[in-house]
Amino acid sequence: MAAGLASALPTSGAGGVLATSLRRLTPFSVTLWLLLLFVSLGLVVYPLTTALVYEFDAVVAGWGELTSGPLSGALPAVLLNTLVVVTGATVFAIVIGSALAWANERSDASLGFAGQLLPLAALIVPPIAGVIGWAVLLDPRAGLLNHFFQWLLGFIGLELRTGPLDIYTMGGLVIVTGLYTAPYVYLVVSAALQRLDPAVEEASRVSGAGPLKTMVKVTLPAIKPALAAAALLGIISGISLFSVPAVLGAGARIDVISVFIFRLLSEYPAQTGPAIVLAIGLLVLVQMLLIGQHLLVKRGRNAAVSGRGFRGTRVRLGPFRYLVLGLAGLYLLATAVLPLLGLLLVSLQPFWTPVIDLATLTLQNFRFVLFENRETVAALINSMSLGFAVACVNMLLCGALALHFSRNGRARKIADALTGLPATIPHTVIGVAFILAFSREPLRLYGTTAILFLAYLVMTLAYAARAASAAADSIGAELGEASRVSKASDLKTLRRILLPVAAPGLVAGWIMVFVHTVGEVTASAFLSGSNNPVIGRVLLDFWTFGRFPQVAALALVISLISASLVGLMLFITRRAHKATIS
Amino acid sequence: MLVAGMGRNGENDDTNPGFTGATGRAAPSHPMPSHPTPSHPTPDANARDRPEPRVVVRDLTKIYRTRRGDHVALDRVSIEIGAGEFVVLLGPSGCGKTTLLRCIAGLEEPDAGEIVINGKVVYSAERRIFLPPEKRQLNMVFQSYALWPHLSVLENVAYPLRNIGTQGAKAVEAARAALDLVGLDQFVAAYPGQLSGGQQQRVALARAIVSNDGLVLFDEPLSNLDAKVRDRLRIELLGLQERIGFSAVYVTHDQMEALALADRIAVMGIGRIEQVGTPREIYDLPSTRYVADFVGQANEIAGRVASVGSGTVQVETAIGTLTCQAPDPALATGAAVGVLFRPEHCALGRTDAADADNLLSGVVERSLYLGPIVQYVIRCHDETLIVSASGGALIESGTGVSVRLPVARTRVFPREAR
Repeated sequence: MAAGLASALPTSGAGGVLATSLRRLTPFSVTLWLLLLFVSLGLVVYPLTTALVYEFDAVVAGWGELTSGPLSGALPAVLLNTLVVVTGATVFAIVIGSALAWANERSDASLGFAGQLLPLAALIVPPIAGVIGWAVLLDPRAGLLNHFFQWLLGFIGLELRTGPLDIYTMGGLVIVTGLYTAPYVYLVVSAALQRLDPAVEEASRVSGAGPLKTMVKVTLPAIKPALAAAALLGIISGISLFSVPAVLGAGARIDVISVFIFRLLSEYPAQTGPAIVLAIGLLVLVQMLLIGQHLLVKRGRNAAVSGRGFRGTRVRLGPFRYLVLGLAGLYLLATAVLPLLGLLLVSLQPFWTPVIDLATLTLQNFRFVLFENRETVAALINSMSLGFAVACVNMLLCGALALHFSRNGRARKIADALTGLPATIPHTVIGVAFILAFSREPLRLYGTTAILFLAYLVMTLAYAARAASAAADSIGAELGEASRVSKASDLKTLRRILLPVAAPGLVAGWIMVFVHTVGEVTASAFLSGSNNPVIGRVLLDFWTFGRFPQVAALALVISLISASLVGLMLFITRRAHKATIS
Repeated sequence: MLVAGMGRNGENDDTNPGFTGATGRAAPSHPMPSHPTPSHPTPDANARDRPEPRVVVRDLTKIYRTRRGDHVALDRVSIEIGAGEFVVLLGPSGCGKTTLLRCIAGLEEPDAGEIVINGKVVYSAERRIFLPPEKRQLNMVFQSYALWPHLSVLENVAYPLRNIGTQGAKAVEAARAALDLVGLDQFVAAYPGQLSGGQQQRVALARAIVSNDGLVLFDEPLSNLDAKVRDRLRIELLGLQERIGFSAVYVTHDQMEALALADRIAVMGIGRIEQVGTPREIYDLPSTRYVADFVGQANEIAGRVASVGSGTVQVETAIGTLTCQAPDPALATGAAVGVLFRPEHCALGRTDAADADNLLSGVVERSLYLGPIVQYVIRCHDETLIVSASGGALIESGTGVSVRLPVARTRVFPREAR
C-alpha cells in the first residue's frame, strides 16, 4: 500500500528531495552557506593548493634535501623526538584526564566546582603562559621551585647549586605538554560517560562483578570510541603544539617537528621546500589517523549508548576518595596555581632571580608591557581586536547556521562536516600554507593583520561551531514552533525567541573563541612579525631575548584576561542553566 | 471519569450532531469494513443545516523520506472538526496522529491533500498553497509546555496578541484575563522556570486561548504531568472549553483521556483513521477489529459463520456455537471470523439468562483483584476468557462457573487469512 501510494505522488525519490532542498534556499541561507564555504574550504584549500602549485619545484628539491641532502642528518632525531613527546604527552593526558572524568562522573569523589574548572584549565591559563610559568619554576639554575627545594635539602645536609629538577628535558616537555592536553581528554571522556547509561554498569554490579571488574569489562569498552577520539585529539594538538617545545626545547636542545618547520622558514634563506614537505606529511598522517579512528569506531558495537541526564549510583571510593581529590587538586595546582605564582614572583622583580627580595619588588614590568613598550602595547591591541573580530564573525556565522537550520538535519550534517574540517588540520600546516600562499599575488597579505585574522578564523571555526550547536540544541524545537503558532513570522521568531534563549550559549562560545585567539602561538609565530605583532609572537621573542620579567608580566596579563573572561562565561552559562530548568 | 464523559456526549448527541464519520479510505483490499454501523446513522442528512466546520482535512498524505525508504505517516486522511467541537485523535505511538496535528498547525508540510480552516484554504497540494503557522488562525499547546524561559508569565501570554498588533495595555489586560481564567492571576510576574509543571501547562493554555482564534490544537499536553494533576487539569480544560467555546483537536495515546474529553474520537491506525465516533460508539460499537482491540480490553474467539439469521449470525467456535450481532457488511456462511466482547459485558454465574443470550461454562483459573473490579481468568474448553465483575463474593480458583454473553454485546469481524 505504501509503495503504491508513494509512486502515485508527484515528487519522490532522491531527485525530488534535492529539488525541494534547492527550492527552499533563501537569500539568507545562500549567504550563510557561501560564508561557511569560504571559511572552512576556501581558507584551507586555497593556501594549501597555492603553496603546492607555486612551490612545486622547491617541494621536489625539499624532498631530496630531507631524504638524502643536508637536512637528512637532523630529521630522524626530530621525528623521534616528536614521536616521544606526542606519545608520552598523549598517554599522560589520557591517564590523568580520563581518571578525573571517571571520578567526577561515576564515583563519590565528585569534584564539584573543580570539576567545572578542570576542562577549562587550558583556557584559564593559556599554555604559553603555563609553560613559561613552569620554566621559571623549574629552571635548573634560577628556578624558584628548585631554589625552594635546595633550601629544603639544605636541612638534611645536601648542598646543591643546580636542580634538583630540570624542566629542560624530555620529561619536562612530555609532562607540560600532557598537562595542557588533559582538559580535552577530560571533556571527551566525561561527555561519553554522561551519555552512557549507568544502568549497564549497575547491571554488571548486580551480576556479581566488583567496581574494578565493572570498569574494566563494561565501562572502558563502552567508552572506547571516546578514548580513541581523545587520543587522536591529543596527537593532533601535540603534533602542532608550538609553545611548549619553543620555550623548553631550546634549553633542552630537543627539536620537535613544529619548531623544526618554523626554523626552516624563519632562517635566511627560507627553506620553503622542506617545510612544505614536512607540513604535508603531518597533514597526511593526521588524516590517516582520522580515517583509522573512523573505521575503528564504525565497526564497534557501541551503539547501546544513549540518552542523557542519567543519575546512577556512584562507586564508593572510601579512603581512595582523598587520593582522587588530591589528584584533581594537584592537577589544578600544576596547570594554574603554581605557574601563575611563578610568573607573579618573576614579574615583580627587576630581573629574574630565585631569591625573592621584598625590597626590590616593583610594578615597573607591568608598566613597561602595558604602557611603555611600543611592541607589547601594539601586540595587546592587535590580539584583543583580532580576538574580538574573529569571535564576532565566527559566532555570528555559526550561531545563524545552527539556529536557522536547527530543524533541518541534512543541512546540519553538512554544516557540521564543513566546520569540523579545519580542526583536523594541524596549526603548523595552516601556518606554513598561509605564509607561502599569502606572500604572493593576488593576495599579498603576509605581514598584515588580515592574514592573522584569516588564520584565526579557520583555527577557531570548530570551537565556534561546537558552542553554537550546543546553544541551539539546548533550545527545544517546540519553543520556536510555539512562537510560530503564536503568529510570529520566521525572522521574528529568530529575533524574539531563539536568539535571546540561545544568547548565553552564544556568548560562552564567543568568549571561548576570543580566549583561544588571544592565547594562540603556533600560527602567530609563523604569521606575525614586527609589522603585525600579536601576544603569542611577542612572548616567544621576549623569551628568546631573555627579557624574563617582562615576559612574565605579559603572560600574567593575558592569563588574567583569559581567566576573568572564563569566569564570566561560567557565570553566564550557570545562570542560563538555572533559568531553563523547569 | 467514563460516566461523566458519557453524560456529556449524550447531551451532544442532541445539540451537536456528529459529522461525516469520515474514515480512512476504504480501499477494496482493505480487510475491515471501515464505515460505522448503520444502526447509528451518520448525520450526513442534516449536515447542510450546520454552520461551516472549523477545520476540514481532505485526503491528507504525508510521507517521510528516510534513507531506509519512504514511510507513509498519513495516508489520505480526511476529517472535519465543527465549531466548538472537541475531537480527540487517539492511537498508538507512530500512527501519525501528531503528524496530522502538526500538518493542521502548519509545522509540517504534507505531500498531498487539502486543509481548510475557517473556510480559508491553508494547504492545498493541487493549488500549491501552504500558509505558515502564523497565518492560520489557530493556537497550540505542546507536550513540553514550550514556554519561553526569558519572558515572564505575562509576557509569554501576551506574545500572540503583540504579534497581531494589539496595543500594549490592551494586550496586557487580555493576558491578565486569560491567566485569571486558568487560575494563575497571582503569577503574572513569575518566570516559567519558577512554576511547577501543572502551572506551566496552565500558562501554555492561557497563551493558547488569549487571542481567541476559536481553534486550539493539543499535542499530548498532559502526558508530562502527575496522574493527580492530570485529572484536575482535564476537568479544568473541559470547563474552559465549554465557557469559551473553542474547537479542540487533541492528540493522545491515553484512551481514558480520550473517552473523558472527546465529543468525538478519531481512532487512528498506522497512517489512517479507523473510526470516528462518539466515545460511546467507539467503545460499544467499534467498527473494526483494530478499534475493538485498541480501545478497552476485548476477548477474541476465532470461529466460522455457521448460519446467517435476521440481525444475528451463528458462529461456530471452539467453545460452542455463539449467537452474535450480525456484522456490517454481512458475511457469507463459512467466513472465518473473530467474535469480540468486552470482559465487563459478560456476567458470571447467572442462570436467569434470557433465552437469546449465550451461556458458556468454564472454570475460574485465576482471579485478579483490581479494587473496583475483579478480573477472572476463565478457562473455557481450550480458550481463555477474561471476565470482570464488580461487587459480590470472590470466586475461588477452580470453581466451575457459567458465563452469560449477551448477543447485543458481541462484535463479529472477519479474520485475516494468514
